[in-house]
Amino acid sequence: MKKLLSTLLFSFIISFSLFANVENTFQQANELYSNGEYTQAIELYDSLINSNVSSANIYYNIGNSYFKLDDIPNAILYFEKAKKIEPNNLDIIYNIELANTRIADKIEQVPHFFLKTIYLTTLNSLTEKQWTTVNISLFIIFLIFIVLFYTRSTNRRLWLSFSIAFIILTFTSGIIGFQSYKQKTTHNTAIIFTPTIDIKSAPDTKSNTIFILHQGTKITLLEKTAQWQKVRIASGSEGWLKTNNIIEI
Amino acid sequence: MSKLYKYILSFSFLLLISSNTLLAQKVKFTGEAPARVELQQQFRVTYTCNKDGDFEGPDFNGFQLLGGPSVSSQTSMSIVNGRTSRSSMKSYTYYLKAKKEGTIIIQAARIEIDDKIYKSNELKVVVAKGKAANNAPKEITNTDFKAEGKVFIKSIVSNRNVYMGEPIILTQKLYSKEKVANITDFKEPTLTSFYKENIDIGELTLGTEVINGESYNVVILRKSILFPQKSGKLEIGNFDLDIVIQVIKQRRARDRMEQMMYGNVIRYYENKEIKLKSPKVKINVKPLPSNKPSSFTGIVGSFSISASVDKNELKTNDAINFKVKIKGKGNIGLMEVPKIDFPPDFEIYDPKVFKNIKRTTAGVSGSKNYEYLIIPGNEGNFVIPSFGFTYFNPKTEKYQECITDDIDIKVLRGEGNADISNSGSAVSRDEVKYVGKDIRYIQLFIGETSKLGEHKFNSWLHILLMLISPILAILLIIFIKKQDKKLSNKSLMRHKKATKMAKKRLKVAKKAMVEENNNLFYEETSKALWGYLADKFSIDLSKLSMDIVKEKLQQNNVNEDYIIEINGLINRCEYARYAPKSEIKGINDIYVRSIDVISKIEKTLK
Repeated sequence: MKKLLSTLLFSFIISFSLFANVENTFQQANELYSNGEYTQAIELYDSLINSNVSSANIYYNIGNSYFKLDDIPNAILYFEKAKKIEPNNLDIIYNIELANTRIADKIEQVPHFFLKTIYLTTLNSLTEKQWTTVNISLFIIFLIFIVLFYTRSTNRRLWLSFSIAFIILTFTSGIIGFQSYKQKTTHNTAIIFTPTIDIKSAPDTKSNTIFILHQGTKITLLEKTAQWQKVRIASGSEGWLKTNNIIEI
Repeated sequence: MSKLYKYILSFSFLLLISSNTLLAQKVKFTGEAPARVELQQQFRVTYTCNKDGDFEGPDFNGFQLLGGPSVSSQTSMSIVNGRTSRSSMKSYTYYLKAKKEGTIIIQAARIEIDDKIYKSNELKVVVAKGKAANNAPKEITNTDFKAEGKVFIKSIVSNRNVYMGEPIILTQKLYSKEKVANITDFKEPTLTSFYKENIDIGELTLGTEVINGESYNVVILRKSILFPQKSGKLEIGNFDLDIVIQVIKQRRARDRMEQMMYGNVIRYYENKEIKLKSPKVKINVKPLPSNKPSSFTGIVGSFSISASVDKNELKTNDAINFKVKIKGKGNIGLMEVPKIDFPPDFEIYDPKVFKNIKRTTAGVSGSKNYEYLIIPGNEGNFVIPSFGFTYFNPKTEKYQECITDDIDIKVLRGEGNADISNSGSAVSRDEVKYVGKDIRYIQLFIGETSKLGEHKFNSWLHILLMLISPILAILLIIFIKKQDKKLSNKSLMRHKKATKMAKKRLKVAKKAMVEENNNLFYEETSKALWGYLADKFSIDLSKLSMDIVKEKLQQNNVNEDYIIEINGLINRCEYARYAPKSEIKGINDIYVRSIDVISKIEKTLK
């Protein structure tokens, strides 16, 4: 028992010191950034990511550094990575919008069907973690009502209707949370890194060029062959390009 | 009539001339050319004839005809011993350029005089592959005038290996051993990819210079400063100069009179017009180092900048003079106003620009002054931030930056403004001015971290919680149910034991009855009755009242008579307990009826 306790305590201390180390590195990188040494700052931030630490703020700061170095495609890539973790962070959204004014392609966003807009705003209103918490808590509330229903002799109809309502909410939050999870685990968007690229009508260099894109533009990934990737841009147009021209978010 | 007259007149005129000259002289028609020329060299071929006629030049095969024939005539008259002799010469000059090597024969030219054709001699010219073709300094193009090395012009540059934008001083000089009478034409060299500024050298002055042990008179024709605008091998083209020189010529005295006056040999000056061409000058322009700062705009040299204000503290709507002074050496003429980020609340007027640029042999130097008039609109502490520009210093071969200091300006509230704000009617309000756009600043704290690729949703914790919580809920339900059951069991026990307890108590009552302890009897009987009812309905004794008992009994369908009976019994017991004199007579009756009513109620409740 004593041994177990000491191991627990030890692991706790280790994780704490690791965290302190991470915070330290982060602060050092921030200092480099404020001194205008952006390249070194990026290296330090990257070292954090390489040591398996993931945080929206790290990605955001890397994006900022690239922006200051005038490397807009990389800046957008990292801002988008940050947004993937924290879709409702206003700083990230603002910087993405600003960075997008610096790229060559201005694509008109096709307005979504209003239900999809509602769905997307709901999905992005909470992070994946928050959705998980919501999901669990709704489930627990449902269980409380179930317990009440089975044990109380009075107001049983009320308890039943409450529990039905909460199981529905639990399922809804579960589905949304799952979507949020899926969005994070699959790479379905990417940034173009080639200065100018022809988007072809078929996965073949000889096929017709449909439109031309430039670096920094965000695209949605569709199906894929060994070397080619079908993509869609915000306006809804689709075409093929070689996979080595893009970096997945 | 008039035609006839004209004819006669011309005829007689012709007669008059021929009587004098035609008879006196034979036709002399000769050609003259240098025997030996170099390839690409320009030279002249002259045909001279002492009579007027229709001249027809030969084909100059193997030469490039540059110009001609230019015709010039010369008439001389001499009186020897009272006899007048007159000679007229007409010469036809061609300008040619040798194009082919070898010996080339120029065919004879022809001239027709009085219906008779005369031919000149054939000319033989040897064209040799000269050093002039390859050798750059071919100063003199005029071969007729044998003045090679005597008169030439030259472009001299201060530096042949420069950086882009670094100034070069170009001096164009005329070297001469002969007397120069006049300069008739000066053609500027072709300068591509250069920016040129002329240096004022005043009047032309004569100097001397020694080249290869021979001294020359030197005239500096022009001095200018060149700024190369392109890197690579650039060329300063050749410039042309047409001058007239005076050549001393000698001739023998023509007659005795001359001999008497000037001696046997007469020296005289002859004006010769010659065309000079300077050699080209090649200049190697190095590109600027590639690590160009973004603020670099092509200024090369060495500079300094300073900024000043006439006062640091003022009231609103007063004006400040803001002066910027840029000083230095280099292409200051190309410099633009540095960009200054004035505080947006300031009203700025276009600056007055004073230029003071000196172009000397040391290069371009000078200063540029900008004077701004600034009127601050609002009170507060403002800073005119430092500004400047980047230039390339060819001496250190580095980019250098010169910047001004920050200038603090304190603006106090002016009196005029105070009046307005006191009246309270109009405080000048401006929209917030957005000066620039930038990304939001970095996050200062790392915030929430997780392991890379770790997800909260679908994580083991999430699944575990989702699985455990229903199990917990089921356990909870089971627990509560069991607890309920236990409780209900307890009341069942009480229910079952109710009669037993009542009988026990009644036994005590009977004992009291025998002992004639009336008080104890009534107490025990009432206890037995109350206790029985309380146990039966599992209600605490303290909470029990007659009304609750009646209600409960009615709920359980107990006969109304029994309810009245038990009620009456309890009331009699209570009454007897607290009555002053106890009623001994009915004791037995109460006892029997109590047993009776309990057994009866027991039957219906079962």
